[in-house]
Amino acid sequence: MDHGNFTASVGQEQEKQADADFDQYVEEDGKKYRLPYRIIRKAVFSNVSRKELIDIPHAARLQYRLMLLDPILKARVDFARGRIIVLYNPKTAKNNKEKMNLDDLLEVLSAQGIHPEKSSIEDTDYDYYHDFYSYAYQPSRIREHPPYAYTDEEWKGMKQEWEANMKEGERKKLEKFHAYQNQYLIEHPDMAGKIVEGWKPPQGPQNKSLIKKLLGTKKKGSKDDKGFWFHGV
Amino acid sequence: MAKDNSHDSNAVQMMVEEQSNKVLAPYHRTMEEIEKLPIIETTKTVCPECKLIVDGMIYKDADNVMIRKYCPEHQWTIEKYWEDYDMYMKMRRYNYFGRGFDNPNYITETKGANCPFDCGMCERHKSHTGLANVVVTNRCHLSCWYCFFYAKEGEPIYEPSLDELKHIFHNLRSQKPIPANALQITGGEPTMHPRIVEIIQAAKESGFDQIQLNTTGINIGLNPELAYKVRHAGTSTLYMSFDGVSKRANPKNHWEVPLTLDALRKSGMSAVLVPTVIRTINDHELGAMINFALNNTDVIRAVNFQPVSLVGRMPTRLREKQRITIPGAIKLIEEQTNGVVAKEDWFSVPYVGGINKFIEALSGEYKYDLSIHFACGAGTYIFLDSDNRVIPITRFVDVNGLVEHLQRAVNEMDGKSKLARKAIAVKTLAGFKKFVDAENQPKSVNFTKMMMSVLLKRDFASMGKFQMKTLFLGMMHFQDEYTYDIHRVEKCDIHYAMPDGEVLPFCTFNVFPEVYRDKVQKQYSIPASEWQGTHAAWDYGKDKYIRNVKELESSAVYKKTYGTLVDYFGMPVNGGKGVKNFANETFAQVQPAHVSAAGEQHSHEGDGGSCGCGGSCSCGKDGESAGDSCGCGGQ
Repeated sequence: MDHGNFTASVGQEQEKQADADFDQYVEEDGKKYRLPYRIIRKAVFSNVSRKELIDIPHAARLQYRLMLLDPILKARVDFARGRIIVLYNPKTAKNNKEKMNLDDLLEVLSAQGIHPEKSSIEDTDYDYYHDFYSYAYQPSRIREHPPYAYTDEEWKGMKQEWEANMKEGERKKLEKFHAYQNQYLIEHPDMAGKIVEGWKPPQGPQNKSLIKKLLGTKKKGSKDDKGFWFHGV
Repeated sequence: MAKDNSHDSNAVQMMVEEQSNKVLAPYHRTMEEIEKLPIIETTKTVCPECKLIVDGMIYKDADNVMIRKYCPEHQWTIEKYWEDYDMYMKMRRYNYFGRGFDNPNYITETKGANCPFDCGMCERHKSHTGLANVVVTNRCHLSCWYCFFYAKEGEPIYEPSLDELKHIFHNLRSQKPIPANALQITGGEPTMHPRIVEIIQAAKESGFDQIQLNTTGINIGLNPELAYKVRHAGTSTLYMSFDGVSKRANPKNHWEVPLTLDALRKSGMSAVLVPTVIRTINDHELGAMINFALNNTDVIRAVNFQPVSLVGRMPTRLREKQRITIPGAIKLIEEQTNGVVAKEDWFSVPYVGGINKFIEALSGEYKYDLSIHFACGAGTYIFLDSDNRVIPITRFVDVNGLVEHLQRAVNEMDGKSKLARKAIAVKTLAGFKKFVDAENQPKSVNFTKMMMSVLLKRDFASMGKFQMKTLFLGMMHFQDEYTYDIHRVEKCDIHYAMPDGEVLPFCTFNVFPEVYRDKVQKQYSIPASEWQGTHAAWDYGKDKYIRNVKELESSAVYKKTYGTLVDYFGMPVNGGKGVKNFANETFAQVQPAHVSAAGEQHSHEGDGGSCGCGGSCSCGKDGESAGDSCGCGGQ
């Protein structure tokens, strides 16, 4: 591998082929998300000489150097298996990002002292949206840790209840938050209309009629005050 | 021609000075000397030049803990890791591994051998997300020269839509086994996002309990209505940049902080002050900053010092001069608070893990793991009592003893029946009192009672009430290429959620921005031309804040905030000695000229503010564009 200083410009002479028709958004459940790539390429270089990779630290540095390049989205250099995997944005892709082709990639590797055999290169389409983006947003569960001081067996028995509690907790939390918001508006009447447009204070007890005012306040617990006693029960 | 020896003699003199200077000496030993020094542990690190993963040797040099690494191409790098050996050994005892993710972004084919270049949250990571950072915009109203986090003119704008942010929030809340629960909304300047209020509300509704807004506070101060709006939307705390009490130390937002605190007071919100500590720049104001917070405990909950992370390439001598680590800052705090907040009062973050584990073992419900590396963070509580005494928590609670007591109980509970667990818990709680010195605790605090309600009823509201009367002092030292330690990064619990769905530890996201932060944000950014097309009224210049210093300084709130500070560390109950460089003593002094890092005085008159004086001048000129375009670096 070349030990010289690496410049990030290697292989980046790729022209940025802007694609005016490229839809930069995907839609999921009626929501639009910006997504810079769709179908890109995945190049797998197998049987890479370990002599060329030198050792694990140099393989890791090669990975870092590959990732410096804008057209390369991800790179994995596995010294133990003698394998390099690169996700790159090909020149044939319809998007507005920096691009490269396999030859550029080989040139980059060659500049780093890596000369993979052409027969052991797999260069296939890779669906960025389904296989990378969507997965990252919903990674699968690969293991379970029970809470501290509990065994896996105990946790299996407790899990369902815990999950139900969590769900209920989330619901209560939201309820509590909305109650807090209402209370906040009541406590800041001067600002409430600016915080929530058109906000009006909740209606309090109706204004007493003139007769009631003249008769004075009724004693607590009287028929009219029932609402007060039941409030909050 | 006679040879000019002045250069040689200067170099010799400088060498002698460096070798005898306590701060600089560890950098200036010969490798022969260094190799004889005792090694404490080894780790993996990177060469700051070429990013080759190399062995890191953490060794003791007098009172310092240093890290050295050797790259076959770039030779030796020596850096300060921790400026107090005893403290390092004390903190190290409480290190533990957390649980990481049960649904990581991917399984590493290299089994972690390529760490930190395999990042995206792999199955090897050892802490779950403790604090999730989400960047909502890279636009900023300031243009601090040292900052790489904002879009400069013509650069692409990264500003996810509300839906995209909701997507990210949902992703964070789907983490297993412990969903991210604390969120920091950051930027750029997050209040520049036109839908910031809705973003906060969406975050709260997606289930985050704690929402911090990482801001300069300027927009909040100048527009108090926004304070009410973000508070109503669910913001818990403003995580506010604050690099010093004086304008020289804090040119970024010195003038606006009084307005911000005022707006927070009125809107019922609190703030955490976040000073970035740089040796020789603002390290003389650490005590003054704590005192400032004590003067405003009604709105300031914490001061979270961040010893500088020297990201990016910089000259060796400047790096040596500016480097400060957690214990370095702690020692200065001890000096600058007359010993009121002493070195012994601090504990590392994983200490608290014992308390959380105990609650979890007792309840069977997942609790937050604070399993970060001991060298990443430290903290303490100080209490301002009614007689103006400042009392650190360690003066009335045996924190070490208490944590060990709880940890023993957790170990004992392991695999026991529910009943046996409860019996152990009762026994543990009965022994609790011996760790609290009731006589010395502040008059208005009953620490035992508070801890009982936290441990038994899981009533964290009482903890909240406790915090209302106290000030949390924190330290968080982010890494850079020189100090990089892979053992630290794999335990990191401050994570960034990226637009591509991956989650990254703070110290890979920011230390290698070229392959993480900048790379991915660039992919998801909108080119400036496209941005302009969809935001017709937008103009880069309009984004920038113009400060009117005269007007700000003449305001009543400014005078009140800085002009009437009580000197708590100078009071007889706290020692009664005068404090050097104390804010309220120096505040009134008029500084006619700026003092450069080299000590020479110069004025900004006529130089267009481009002195590049490296951070020690005050640039509060009337009508000047804020954010330090002069090059003084917000220091």
